[in-house]
Amino acid sequence: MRRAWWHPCRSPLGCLRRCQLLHLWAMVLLIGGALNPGLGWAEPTAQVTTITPAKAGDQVVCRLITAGLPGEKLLQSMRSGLVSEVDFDLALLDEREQVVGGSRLELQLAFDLWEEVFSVRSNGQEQRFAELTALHRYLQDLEQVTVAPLSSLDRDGRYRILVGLQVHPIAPSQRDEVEAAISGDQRPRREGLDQQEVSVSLGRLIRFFYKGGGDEQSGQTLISAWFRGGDLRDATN
Amino acid sequence: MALIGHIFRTHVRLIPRRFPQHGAPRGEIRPGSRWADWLLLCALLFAGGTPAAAQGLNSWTRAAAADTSRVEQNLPLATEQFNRGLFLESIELAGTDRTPLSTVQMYLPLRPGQPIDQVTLIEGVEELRRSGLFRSVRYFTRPGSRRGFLVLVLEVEEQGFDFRFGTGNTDLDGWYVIPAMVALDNQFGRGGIFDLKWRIGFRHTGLLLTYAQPRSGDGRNYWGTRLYVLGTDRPYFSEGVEYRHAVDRVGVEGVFGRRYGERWTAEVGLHLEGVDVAETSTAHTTSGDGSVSIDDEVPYEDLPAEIQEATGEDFREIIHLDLQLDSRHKRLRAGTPTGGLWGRLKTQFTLQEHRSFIGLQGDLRAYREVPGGVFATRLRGSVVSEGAAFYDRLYLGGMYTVRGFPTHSLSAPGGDTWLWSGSVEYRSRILGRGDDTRLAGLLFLDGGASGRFGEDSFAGVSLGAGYGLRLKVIWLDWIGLDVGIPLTERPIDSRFQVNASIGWSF
Repeated sequence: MRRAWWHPCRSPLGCLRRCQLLHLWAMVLLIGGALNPGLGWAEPTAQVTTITPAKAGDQVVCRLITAGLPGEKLLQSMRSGLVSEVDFDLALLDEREQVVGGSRLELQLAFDLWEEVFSVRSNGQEQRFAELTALHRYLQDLEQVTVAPLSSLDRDGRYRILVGLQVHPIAPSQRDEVEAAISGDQRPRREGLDQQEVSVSLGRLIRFFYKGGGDEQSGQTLISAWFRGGDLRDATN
Repeated sequence: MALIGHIFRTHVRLIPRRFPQHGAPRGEIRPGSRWADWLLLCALLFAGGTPAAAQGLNSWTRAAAADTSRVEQNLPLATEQFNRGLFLESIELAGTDRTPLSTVQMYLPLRPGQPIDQVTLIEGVEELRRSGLFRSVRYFTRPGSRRGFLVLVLEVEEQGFDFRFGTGNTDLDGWYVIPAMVALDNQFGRGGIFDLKWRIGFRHTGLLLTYAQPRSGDGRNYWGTRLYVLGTDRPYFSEGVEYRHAVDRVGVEGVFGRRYGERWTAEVGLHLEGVDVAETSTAHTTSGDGSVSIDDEVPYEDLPAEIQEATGEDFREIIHLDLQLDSRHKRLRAGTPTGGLWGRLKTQFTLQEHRSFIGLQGDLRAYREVPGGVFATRLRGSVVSEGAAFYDRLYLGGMYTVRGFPTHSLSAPGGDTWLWSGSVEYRSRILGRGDDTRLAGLLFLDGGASGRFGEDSFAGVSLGAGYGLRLKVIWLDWIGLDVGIPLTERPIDSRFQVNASIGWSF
């Protein structure tokens, strides 16, 4: 079967499934756009630009080159004395796009108002920077970020690393943000009546699916090039 | 000029002239404060030196003295905190030209001048988000005019035309769905809620148009008004058969309430309502001997006397007064407050031709953390005067009184004039963290009785016990099932009763 130049699918059955999904998403986007004309894709200023997979000891690691971090709002929040947070969600995907491993890196960024130094805290370790330029340099090039155990790779298997970046000017609490984003009626309820009622906003639901999170969600994702398990270079080289 | 006006509206800065003492919200009365001194003086003048009063007074004096010494002892610390701590200098609002900062401050529990930290700031903004005043709220801070002072910048997106859907359950109306609801919240920038809602259920249908102001004035008042058209097939049981009788209501209601302190709320409401009661009932189940089948019509002549005399159209005015107490802890375990009380005293005066009556209802719920979970109890009592029509009377049995029995099945067809019920529940986490439970289990024991003043219709105390599950669903909050087993005589032939619920029964 000849495939149209614009068509992404290879088999008729796969085409049908994918197109149904595409149509569904297109509908959701159209309805979402119609209901929320003021919404648009968030323009992320902070982004991951390069992902370089490697290995370090018994771990798959990667080097992340970023741009736009910490960004103006994070910097302002830090300079006002509060803690900001940058989160990287890393997923190791196999050829079937199945997640075979993953990890999360949370960087808590702060500025000491009295000692006037920046600090980045992660996994209980803290690094301090006297200059903003040093902080910029650190955040631009994150080395040996752990992704998954090396044992989760086959030597001949093909893999990719998906990195999601989330930026929080004010480091969030441990609440479930997804829940906060789409939980039902957010209006105040009258207590004590023998009546229980919930409602869900269709616009909010659609926004969740096509914008991907709660009020604080402003993120970006990037996926690496394919690599083979046996081809990973040592990160120290 | 328009640009200047926009900047003025969206970047209002409130820089305080002086900063209040740490942790003393505006208007709070605490020992050692000027308010406390005035109260102390009034108490001295009023008490007249009785031993009891003196004892109470001494405790006040001691509290005040202790607090003063604590403040004095903490002065160096306070100074240090002033030097090293953070303070909220001002709040800025961006992204709206409809909602003024004064409206936001009714929902945002943060005030310029107060000490601030990360947790307080996050919780404050979360409260603003939960209010639903805006479609979305993002925020960051920037340095203030001095070191240690910060400016909170709220970037908001106004609410627009919102379509909703949902579901609900009431003791009277049973389960219903809301297939369509149109909401236009905060259209005037004052935080008002406006919606049109269509409800449809197995024995209920309705259309409701609501406008409410959850906070007004100084932020402690609330009011609302509603136009409604509701139809309910009310269940009643006679000789083991469940019947339904249609009662339609059209009306308008208005409520005004005020919160006093952190715990008390008082509310007054007025309803003007037209009632239309059908002249026939319909059988909803079959009788054991087969003499009654589903959908059999019960003619007017065969209706129970109380229902018979209430048929036809009527008009009434209802005034209600509510007093509510809420001291429940914010910390949850198994989805339940770990301590505190919730109580309500409700009085209702109904003026209706031939059927004016007074109703009184007390409801008290207590929560206490115990090993492995939370112990929750509820005690409720209600009375109505003899004039109340069957649709205003009291009914026992069901989710909110005694589980294990079908709704209303423990009362006579025409209802009762007094009722009490009590419940004890042990709730425990099954899945999830203690403070973030995803699945909870419960064991319950319910008891209750009802009857009519001046009549020997008391059938004894009914008891039901059972177990239930509650699952936290992100779109619907808590949903659950309770399986109740009747422990006393059953009005109909069923060994157990299953109730589905949104949330907890109390």
